[in-house]
Amino acid sequence: MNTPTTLIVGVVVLALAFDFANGFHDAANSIATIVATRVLTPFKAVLWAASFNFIAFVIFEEKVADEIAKVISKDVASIGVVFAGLVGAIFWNVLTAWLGLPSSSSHALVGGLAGAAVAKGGWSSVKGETLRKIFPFIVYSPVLGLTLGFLLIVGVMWIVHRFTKPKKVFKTFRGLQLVSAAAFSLGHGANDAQKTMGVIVALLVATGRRNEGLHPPLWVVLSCHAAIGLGTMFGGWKIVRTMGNKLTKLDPMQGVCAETAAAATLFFASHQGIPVSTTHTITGAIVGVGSARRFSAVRWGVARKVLWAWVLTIPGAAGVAALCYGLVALLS
Amino acid sequence: MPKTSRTRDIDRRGSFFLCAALLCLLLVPTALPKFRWVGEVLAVAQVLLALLSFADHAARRHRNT
Repeated sequence: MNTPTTLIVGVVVLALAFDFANGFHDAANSIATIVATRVLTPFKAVLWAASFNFIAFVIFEEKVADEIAKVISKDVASIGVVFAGLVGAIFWNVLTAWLGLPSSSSHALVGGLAGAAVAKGGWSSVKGETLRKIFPFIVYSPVLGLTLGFLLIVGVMWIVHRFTKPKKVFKTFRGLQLVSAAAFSLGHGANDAQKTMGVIVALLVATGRRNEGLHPPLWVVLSCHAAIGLGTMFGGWKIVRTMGNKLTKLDPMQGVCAETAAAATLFFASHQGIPVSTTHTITGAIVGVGSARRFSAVRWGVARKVLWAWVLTIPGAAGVAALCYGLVALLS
Repeated sequence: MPKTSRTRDIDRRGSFFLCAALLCLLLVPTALPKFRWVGEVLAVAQVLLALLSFADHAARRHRNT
């Protein structure tokens, strides 16, 4: 059956809206520390982060996008499945934001696509190999962030304690925050924008507008990076004030270590084509940095919420997407 | 007050790292063979961090007594 172009354009716009919301929501992760320590004003900070979100496409290959596009088997891929998957992910993100759960939009997207595919074609319609690539990294990415964050802060403190001029150290790390925030934004742009690219590619393949296995076309790459960059620009400065020191109170040195650890984790994941949660990765890194000083310095209530989000997001988004697909099938 | 709560805090940190190590190890069989090393390396790293944390805890307790 030939799918009308207007329907395809509608779902592409929905996917880009999801990407925009991702940037809007996650901007605070990369710029919270530079704003809290007054290295940059909120406006300059969001511009800084948005620019690096956008230029990530120059540096990273579209391996994450290829992986997301492969979540659902070609036999069941259709505009209805992609639409239901997106609606499931968006609904779950809105619900968890309302409940105050720091859920991952990446996990919601994978859960949504898988749920809609299973509703259409049963369990065999989800590619097990792709899920086996994604699933362990739900836990590994924050633990990797935590480990690197812990080791970095211990190493940096060991070097820095030899200096007798704490003011100079403080000033140096204030400057370095610009570099670490840029690196994290780059990682965020690379991993998160590519998830939306994957959805759009899956849609184009499902509707016969593109052959399977090809890299995303340039207009998809540019529009996804632009959407996440614009989301960061419009959302960041509003959210950053409340996000500031939510998990633990960070000084510039800790901010640099947490962002560098999270950026390294995201670079690794993007290079290997593994979609991971940027929110959970930076949360892990902050917990690692915070617990190096004093375990009680970490606000464990927030970390506990992340654990709940791990457990609930994929099945939750999958359930909503399956219901949505049921409705779509009923109406069409 | 600081003495007892701090002692308990450091203990909890070591236990937390051990739990993280166990979780990483449990997930190794579910990962693709290409990525199993990530879970194994993370588990070893978490065990090392736990040992360091327990050693730090013991040293602090020794200093405080």
